[in-house]
Amino acid sequence: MCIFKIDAQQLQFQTRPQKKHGMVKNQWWIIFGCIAHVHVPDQRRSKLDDKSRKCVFLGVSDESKAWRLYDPVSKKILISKDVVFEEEEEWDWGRTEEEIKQDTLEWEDEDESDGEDDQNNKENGGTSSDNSDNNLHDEMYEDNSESNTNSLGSSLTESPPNEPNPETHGELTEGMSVRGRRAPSWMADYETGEGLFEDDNLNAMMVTENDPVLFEEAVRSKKWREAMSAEIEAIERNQTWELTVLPKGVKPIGVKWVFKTKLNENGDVEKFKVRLVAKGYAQRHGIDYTEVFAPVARFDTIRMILAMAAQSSWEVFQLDVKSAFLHGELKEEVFVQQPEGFTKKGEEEKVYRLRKALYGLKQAPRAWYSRIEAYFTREGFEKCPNEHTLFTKSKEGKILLVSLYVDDLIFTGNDKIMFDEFKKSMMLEFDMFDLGKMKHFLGVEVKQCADGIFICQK
Amino acid sequence: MESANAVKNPIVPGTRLSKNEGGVRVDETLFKQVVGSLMYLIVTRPDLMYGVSLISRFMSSPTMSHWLTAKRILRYLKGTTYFGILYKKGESRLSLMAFTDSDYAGNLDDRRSTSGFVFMMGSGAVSWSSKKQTVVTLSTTEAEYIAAALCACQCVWLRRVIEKLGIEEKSGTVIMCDNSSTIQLSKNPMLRRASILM
Repeated sequence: MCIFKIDAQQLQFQTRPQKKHGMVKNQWWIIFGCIAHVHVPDQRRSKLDDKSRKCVFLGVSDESKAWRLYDPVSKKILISKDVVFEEEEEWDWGRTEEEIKQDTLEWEDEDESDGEDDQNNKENGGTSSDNSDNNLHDEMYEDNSESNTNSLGSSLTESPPNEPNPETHGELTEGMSVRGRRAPSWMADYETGEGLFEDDNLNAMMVTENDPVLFEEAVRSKKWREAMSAEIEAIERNQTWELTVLPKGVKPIGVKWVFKTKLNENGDVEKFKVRLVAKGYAQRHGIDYTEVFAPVARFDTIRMILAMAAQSSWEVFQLDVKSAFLHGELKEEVFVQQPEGFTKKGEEEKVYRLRKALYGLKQAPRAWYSRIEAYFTREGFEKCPNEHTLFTKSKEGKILLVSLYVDDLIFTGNDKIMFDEFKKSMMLEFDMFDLGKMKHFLGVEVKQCADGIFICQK
Repeated sequence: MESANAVKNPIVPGTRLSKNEGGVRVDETLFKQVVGSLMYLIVTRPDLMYGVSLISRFMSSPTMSHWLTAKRILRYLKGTTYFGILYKKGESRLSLMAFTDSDYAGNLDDRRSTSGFVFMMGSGAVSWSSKKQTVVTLSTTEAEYIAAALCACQCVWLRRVIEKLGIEEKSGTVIMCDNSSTIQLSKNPMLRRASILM
């Protein structure tokens, strides 16, 4: 262990250690490697977050009059002035990462509980791993023992949708409300009138507060781990990439995970969606990509198709391509790093060479458009020269119209056999969702009824 | 806005807004959010087109009067949430028809006019626009003529797409214009020489 010498000028506070160690005036000593509690500024944390982070003291910053500290949890070097030292303590390096994560997890558990609970925590000495505290949880949420007893698997997102949470219920902050609101389970038997208002629904659809941002957060819960495995599996099944040695002078592009809880119209969880995205911002023009433009349909065209379909009493159908961009074939050579949590053992140095596009790549939309355009041409469709996303196929008075909007496509026509053929061949070529009759398209509600087609945006 | 009273029209006829009219500044971000949300509604609501294109010109420094105009659109929306476009089953012959208009020197800041048009196909509108012109016009005729030209451009494109959709437009598309001198000007090519001097 070594000791660092620091000018007392940097410190505007206490001199007690000076006296204790009998140091020369204007000098103060702090033991290298001791524990330091770094204050987290208000802007960086919410009400119930930790006020400080536990770090390891490294020394003085070269650039400013502040301390350099190492955060073993996030594995980052911090520079801060606002530090309280615990010189007698040092970081327990013997502990595994798992254990450290478990620490932070217990903190998150505390977040989950409401204000009342929080107070109880303090009375119990502030440790949430305390047994009595756990009992308290169990008493309060009897129907919900899983998330409390099994603290490892639980994170903020995993709390069931009907967990009582008085904080989120009934409180509408002024201005734009950002909290997704869920009715507590005890209210299941009541009519609240909530959801009658458009706004509430909108919030429920748009906002899911609790999705993890970091891989480290997500990997703790089973559902996200499963979703990630499924995504990787889909990518491999699609033959998107192959593991290769990185050629010299090439920079691989990073990838990251994006997590999103999808809710249905009622605000219930529909599925946990995970996407592996490439960090497209690291791509450079002329090296990793050249052309990026991809056309989309104009709404005038879509309305014209609808007007025409209504006129002729045709039905309009809708298809949705699953992970459309993954189908696009890349012309350029693009290398990406191995995704977090799925690095191949013994081949950590290797990278993936992409054959097909990933979400986030600059050329992904274009690659997808080229792919589907090639498909339509092969199938005997004719592309409208004035609207590149409109494809028509006609033979012997029968006609099939297809309009494409990235991964959503609508089609109509006057022949049922053509519909079925088209649907079948699309299903063979791509992974598709058959959405049946057109109901929702790009935020527009479409009602196909007896006397015509009505569009609105309620 | 939830308890607001609904109104009958999205904008008071004859509303003139100006950039530098003073008055209390309002929250820019909120204003932009409202304009953005309204723009999203344009997809099925041609009735909002003019109002939204008008208030969207003041996004950089909105004042109270702009904000009130925006709020009036919201109030109008409140009473007309269920409005949409109905494309009726074939009773009328499916043909394209256009209406065009302009407001002469509607913008107080640079005295430019706004072109507007809407295309009807069968019973419903399919394409619409409201756009400030790029040039300063000196007469209503000129302003209307420019609007009609913009409409004709869109018409050409729409007709080409329609052709691909399998409808043959045998006759020309009618463009309705409410300015007689503009109509004369469009009909008689000889007048164009005179109009250059105009």
